[in-house]
Amino acid sequence: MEDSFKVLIVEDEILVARSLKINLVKAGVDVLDMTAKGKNAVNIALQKNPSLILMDIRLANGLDGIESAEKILMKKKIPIIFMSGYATEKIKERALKLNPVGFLEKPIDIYKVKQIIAALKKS
Amino acid sequence: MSVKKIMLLTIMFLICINVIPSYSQEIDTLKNKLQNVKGIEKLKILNKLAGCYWELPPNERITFANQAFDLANKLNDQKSKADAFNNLGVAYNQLDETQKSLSYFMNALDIAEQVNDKDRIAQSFLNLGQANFYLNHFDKAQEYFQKLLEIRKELGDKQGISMALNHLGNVMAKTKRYDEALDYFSKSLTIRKEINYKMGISQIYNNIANVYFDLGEMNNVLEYRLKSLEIVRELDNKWEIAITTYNIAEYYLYHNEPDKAYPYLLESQDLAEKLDNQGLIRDNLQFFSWYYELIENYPKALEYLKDYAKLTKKQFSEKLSETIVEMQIKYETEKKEKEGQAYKLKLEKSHSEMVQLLFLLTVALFTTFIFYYRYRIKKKSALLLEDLVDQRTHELQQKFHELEQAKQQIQNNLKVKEKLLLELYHRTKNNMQIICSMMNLHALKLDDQKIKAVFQNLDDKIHAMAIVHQKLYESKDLSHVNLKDCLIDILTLVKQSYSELSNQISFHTKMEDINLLVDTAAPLGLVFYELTSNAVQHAFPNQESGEIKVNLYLTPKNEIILDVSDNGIGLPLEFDIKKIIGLGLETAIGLVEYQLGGEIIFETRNGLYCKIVLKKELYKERI
Repeated sequence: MEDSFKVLIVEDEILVARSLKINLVKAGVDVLDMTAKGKNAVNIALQKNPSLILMDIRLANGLDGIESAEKILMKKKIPIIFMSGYATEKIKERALKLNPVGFLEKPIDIYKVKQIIAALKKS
Repeated sequence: MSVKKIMLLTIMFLICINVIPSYSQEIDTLKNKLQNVKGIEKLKILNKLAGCYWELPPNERITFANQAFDLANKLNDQKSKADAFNNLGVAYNQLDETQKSLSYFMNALDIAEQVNDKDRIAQSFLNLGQANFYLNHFDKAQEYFQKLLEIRKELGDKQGISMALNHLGNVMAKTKRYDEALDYFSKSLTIRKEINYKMGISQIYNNIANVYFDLGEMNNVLEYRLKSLEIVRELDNKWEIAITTYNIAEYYLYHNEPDKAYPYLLESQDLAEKLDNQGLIRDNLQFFSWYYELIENYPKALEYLKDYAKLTKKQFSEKLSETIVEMQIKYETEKKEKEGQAYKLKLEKSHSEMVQLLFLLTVALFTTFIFYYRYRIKKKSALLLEDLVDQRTHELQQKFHELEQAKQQIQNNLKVKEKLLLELYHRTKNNMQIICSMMNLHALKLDDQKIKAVFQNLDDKIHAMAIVHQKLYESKDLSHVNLKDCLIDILTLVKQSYSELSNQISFHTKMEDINLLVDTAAPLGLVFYELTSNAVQHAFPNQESGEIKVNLYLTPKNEIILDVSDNGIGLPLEFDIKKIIGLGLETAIGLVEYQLGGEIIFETRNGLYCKIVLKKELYKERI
C-alpha cells in the first residue's frame, strides 16, 4: 500500500468501478471510497480529503463529473483525473478549464494512473 | 442660381412692405402738431413726415413733400427745398416712376450745390446712385457712388465712407467684377470694424457671401453667413436673424444637407411668424417643402408646397388690391395737380390691367407647376415602390433557395449519420456474438463442469447485453429501446439456456411498453437475466412444476416497477438474502442500488418475490 495516498473513485458503472478498484489495490494504491453520484462525491471529497479523485464525466442522478469537480475545487484544491468513455470536444474543453492532472479515455490504463500518482507524490 | 436671386429680391421687396415696425403714434403726434405750428417749424415737420419712407404710403408723402416745397419756396429756405425734392424723389422711386424720381434728385443736388451744403450734396449723390442702380444703369450708379465716396472722405465721415465703398462693391458685384467687389467690401469692412459699426459689419459679411455665392465658392458663403449671424444675434436684431438663418438654411438645402438646414429653417420661420412677415413665412414654406423632398417625405413636401401656393395666391391678391388703391389715389392727386396728365393716367390704368393679366398668368403657371410636381412625385413613389418590391422579392427568392439547399444538406448529413450509427450498433452486437462464440468454442474443450458453467453464464450475460443493442438499432430514434421487448427476448434466452429446467415451469408476463434510454436498459437487462435465471435454477429443486411471474409497469410518479416472483421453495425466514447470495445476484443488487440509484427488495411470500423500483429519467439524453 502507498503511504497515506488515498484515491476516491467516482464512477456510475458498478462493474467498471469495481474493476478499477481491484486493479488499483493490486497496483498498491489505497482506495478511499467509490461512489456513483456527483453529490456524494462532493461530500466525500470535502469531508475525507482524498489525495486524488478519479472522476467519470457522465454520471447519473444530478451533477455530472465536471460540475462535481467545480464544486469540490471551489473549496479544496484536490488533484482530479477525468475519465470518459467518449468525450466530445466541447466536453473536453469544459473539463480542461479546471486544470485536471489527467484526462483518460476508457478503458482506463492503470499504468498511466500510477505515473500520475508518482508525479503527484514527487511534487 | 437665377431662381434663388429672384427669391432673394422678392424677400427684400417684402421686407419693405411688412417688416419695419410701426411708428404710428409718433406720426399721429407729428400730424397733430402740424395743425398748431407755422413757418419754419411747420416746414421741418412736413419734411419729416415726407421722409417717413416706411411708415407712410408714397402718395401721402408726396402730398407732405409738395406742401413742404411750397412752404420752403415761400420762406426761401433752400436747404428745406432740397430736402423736399429728395423726399419727392424717394416717393416717386417707390411708385416706380424712376425718371421723375431722378429729376427730383437732380433738383435737390442743384440746390445743395448752390448753397454748398456738403451733407445734402452727399445725400443727393447717394439717392442718384441708388436710383440708377435699380434702373440697372450701373455706370451712372458707379459714377455717383464714386462722387459720394470723395465727398464723404472730404468730410472725414468714416461711416459715410464705408457706406459709399459698400455701394461701389454692390455695383462691381452686379457687373460681375467680383475681385473689385471684394476689394471694396474689404475696405468698407475695415472701416466699420474700426468704428465698431456692428450692423454694417454684418451687412458687409452678407454682401461678401453673395459674391462668393455667384463665384460658386460655397464654403466661403457659409463662413460669411455664419459670421453675419453671430453679429445679428449679438445685436438681437430679429429681422436680420430671420433673414440670415433663412440664407444659411438655403445653403444647406442647396448642398443636400437637410438635417443641418432644418434648425435654421425652424428659427427663421419662428421669427418670421413673430414679426408677422408674410413674405418670409411664404418663402420658408417653400424651403420646408424642399427639405421634405430631400429627406424623401414626399407627402409632407407636397403639403408645404400647397401651403406655399395658398399664401402666394393670397399675397398676390393683396398686392394687387394695394396697387389698384394706390393707382386710384395717385389718379385723384395728379388730376388736381395737372389736368394735362389725363393721357398718362390712361397708360397707368392699362399698366394696372397688365399687372392683373400677369397675375392671372402667374397663377395659371403656378397651378400647372403644382399639378406637374404632384404627378412627378406620384410617379417617382410608384417607381421606387416597384423597384423595392422587385428587389425584396429577388432577395427572398435567393434566401429561400439557400435555405432549401442547407436543409437538403442537413438531411443528407443526418441520413449518413443515422446509417453510421446503425452500423455501429449492429457491429457492437455482432462483436458481442463473436465473443460468445469464442467462449462457446473454448467451453467445449473444457472438462470441468464448474468452469463450463461459468463460461455459459458469461455467454448468457453478453447475449443479454447484445439483445439490448439489437433492439437499439431496430428502434426509430437510436437512443431509446422498448424495455418490454428486451425483457421478453432475455426471458426467451433464459428458457433456452436452461431448457431442461424451464420445461416444467410456466411463465406469466404482464408488461407495459416503456421506452428507456439504453444507459438504463442495458444494466436492467442484466439484472433481469440474473433474477429469472436464478429462479429457474434454484426455485424448484425437485423438478416439480412451478410458475414464474414477471410484471413491468410505470407508476404515476414516473417510476419503473419490475417484479419477478416464483412459487418455489423461497428462503428460510431467518436468512437475509443479501448475505447468502453469489456473485451474480451481488452484481444485480450493485447495479440497481449503486448504478441505477434504485431499490431492490427480496421477500418470501408464496416463494421468492423480488421487486425493483427505479426512476425512469436517470440520465440526461446524449442525443
